[in-house]
Amino acid sequence: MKKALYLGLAIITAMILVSASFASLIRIEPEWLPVVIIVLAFPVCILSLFLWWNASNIEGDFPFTGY
Amino acid sequence: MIFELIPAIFAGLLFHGIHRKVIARIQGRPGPPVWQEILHTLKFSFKQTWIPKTASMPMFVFIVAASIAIWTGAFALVISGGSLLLLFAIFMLHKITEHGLGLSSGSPYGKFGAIRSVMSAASEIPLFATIAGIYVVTGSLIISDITEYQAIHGPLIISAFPLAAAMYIVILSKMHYGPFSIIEAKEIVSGNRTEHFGVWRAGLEVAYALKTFVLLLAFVLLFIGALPWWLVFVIMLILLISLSFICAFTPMLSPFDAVAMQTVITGIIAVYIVVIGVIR
Repeated sequence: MKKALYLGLAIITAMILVSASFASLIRIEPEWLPVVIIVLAFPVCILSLFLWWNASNIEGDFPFTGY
Repeated sequence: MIFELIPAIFAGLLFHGIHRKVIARIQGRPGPPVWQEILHTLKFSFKQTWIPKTASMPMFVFIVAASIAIWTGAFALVISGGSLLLLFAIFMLHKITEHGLGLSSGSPYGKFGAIRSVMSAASEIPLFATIAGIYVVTGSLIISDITEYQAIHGPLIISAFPLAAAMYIVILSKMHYGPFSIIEAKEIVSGNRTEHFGVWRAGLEVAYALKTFVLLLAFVLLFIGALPWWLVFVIMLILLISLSFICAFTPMLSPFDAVAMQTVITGIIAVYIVVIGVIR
């Protein structure tokens, strides 16, 4: 279920990134808007792509918390 | 922009690999292949991933996304020839993400790294001095104006060498295995990144690759000027190898010594700015 969500998110943000890049290329006004969209969408795209293809998502563990 | 961003990330990861290779060869080790950091990032992205029970979950995840976002913004800023003040603001945000990265995990090692990141805020001061000095010399804080100034008056690395040296120290303080890399020192495991593994670490590798690429590119544009892209890349590589030499030969300073040294450098640059300000 989660894998499908991450894949969907990665595809949607990738489409947004390509559209924003194209908008930036043809210099639509205001010029800062596609850049802001890329800055916001790129981390989501990268992390959701990695979360989609990683081994698995399991419950958290307790790390070493000191002596 | 995305079509420049992806190659920049791969170039940044390649630079990290070359950095490790040069350090290893100087220290008489064979070292990893230069593309190791690319494989490293891919490896982390395939690893099993979870959020530690002791972590602050929203911050633990958000801080990775924020790190990628701010260096994506910095990349856009530098390639579009934007304002140096915004680059300084991005540096400040980076300092906050470094701090948040360590605190969010709940691990004592991460917290030590976070505390050291606050202590080493002095590493950002030479950048402030550089920006002030560039304004005094060129009369502008816009990167495209500064490259135009250099096209007429020659590279700033010659006419304002102390400013270039200060910026060099800023880049050095952000390099892995450097004398100022107290945040991720091995006596505190991986410092503020200790608990960020798997996908989270892969995300951080992407952000830090962009950071290295942006800083080297900014140095070339600010102190050498606008050149053909392949020549910019070659100069970035030479700059990186010089940094690798310093990292290979210099032991990691203690936190107090690191802060003291960066403060002294800033003081020297401040005196230089006052002198050139008076002369002009």
